[in-house]
Amino acid sequence: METGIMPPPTPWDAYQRALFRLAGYGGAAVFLRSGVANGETPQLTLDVGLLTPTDYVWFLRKPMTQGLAENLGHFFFACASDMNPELSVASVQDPASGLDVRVLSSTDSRVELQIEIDDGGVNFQTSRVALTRAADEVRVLEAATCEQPQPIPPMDW
Amino acid sequence: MGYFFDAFYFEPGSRMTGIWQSGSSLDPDEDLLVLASLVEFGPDQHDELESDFLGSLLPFHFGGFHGAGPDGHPWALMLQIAPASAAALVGSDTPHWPMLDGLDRALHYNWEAAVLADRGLDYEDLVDIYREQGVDPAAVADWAVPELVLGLLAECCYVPLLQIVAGKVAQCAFPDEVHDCAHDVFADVFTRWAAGELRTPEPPVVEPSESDWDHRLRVAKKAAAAGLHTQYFWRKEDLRAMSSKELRALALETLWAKRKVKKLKRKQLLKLLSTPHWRNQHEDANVIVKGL
Repeated sequence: METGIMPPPTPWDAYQRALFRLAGYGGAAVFLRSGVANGETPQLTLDVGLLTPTDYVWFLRKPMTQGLAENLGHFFFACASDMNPELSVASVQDPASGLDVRVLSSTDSRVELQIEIDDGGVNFQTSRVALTRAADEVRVLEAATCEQPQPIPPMDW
Repeated sequence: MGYFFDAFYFEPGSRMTGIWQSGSSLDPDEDLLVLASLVEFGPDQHDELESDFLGSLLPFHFGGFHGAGPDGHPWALMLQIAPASAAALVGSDTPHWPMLDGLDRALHYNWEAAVLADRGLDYEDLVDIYREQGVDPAAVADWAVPELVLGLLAECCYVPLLQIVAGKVAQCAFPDEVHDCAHDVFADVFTRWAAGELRTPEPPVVEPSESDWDHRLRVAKKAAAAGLHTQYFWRKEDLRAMSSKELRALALETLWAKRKVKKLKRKQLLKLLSTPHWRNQHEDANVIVKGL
């Protein structure tokens, strides 16, 4: 038996749980939290939280397609920068998790998004400023193996 | 300039970028309490969006204003009004507990936000604030708590309380000026502020002269012998002569961490500013050392 050699980390060891938040006007928000679950092989999973002032629902451990975070990043940036994103930006659909994000309408400063997963959904207006920031931040969902992981926010809710 | 601007610490150079009121459906004849909370958002968060988001999740939300610090760091002052009897429903001895708890819960949905300070007020406190601004208490005797708070919000739009009280009777805040009158003193003020018509002139920036700076500096014997000088090493007597606001400005000026400075009390500020640091002896001290 070899001694003194550390085994390589498993995906479970290497992944830092990452949490993304996109807030909207009127107290609505969507939370995305990535992780790894053990199945036959370790699998990237996604928790989706939908918040309104009267409801707060989580859809847990949905299998997640690799590259979804990057697609969402491009989507958010296009929503923030296009003049009429409801006409020019295609929705993001992840067949693995069932997540569907699309633009409903927009103004000069706001964009209305609809987020659906399984039988749940929420639509809210958010600002183009927030979308610009979200375009960068959402990449944390698949960039959590970085050398200096971000601190995990409190998860007591 | 405005009660809330004086009651809370806003970094010099902070700007209010929006003000709002959501109204109140509470019975004005009931005994009502007010909680004002200064909330700081994440450095890149959108102040307008985040204050709306936070307010929508507060059960006793009444209004507030938001803005950004000189470095763009967003903040909001959130106002809540609740019946004094609400705390008894949960057996709390603290009359403001329902509003504090509501804010605490709402902040769970934005982990980058933090409460920097809060202040509870009741009807008597509000009338005292008006009195201190030269308003005869009899003139606001028939004002309910929500109206008194609205008056303080309107005051933040650079309209004196005396003018607001007079405007309430006349149903116009600016009787001597041509404007699109809403026949409501508060609506008048908020509309004109949003249109950018209510601004104060920029305060003059006073840079301390080199002689002032040298006068405030002290050099520890050991450090002086080594030719070291720090930029935040003042005599306690000089510091005690300064107001808390000036002390905070001084601490910020010398590159102490902003978040830490805002939470420090006067006594702690005096101690930290008068303690010699010529190396990074304190975890949050960013020391500028001359002579190294």
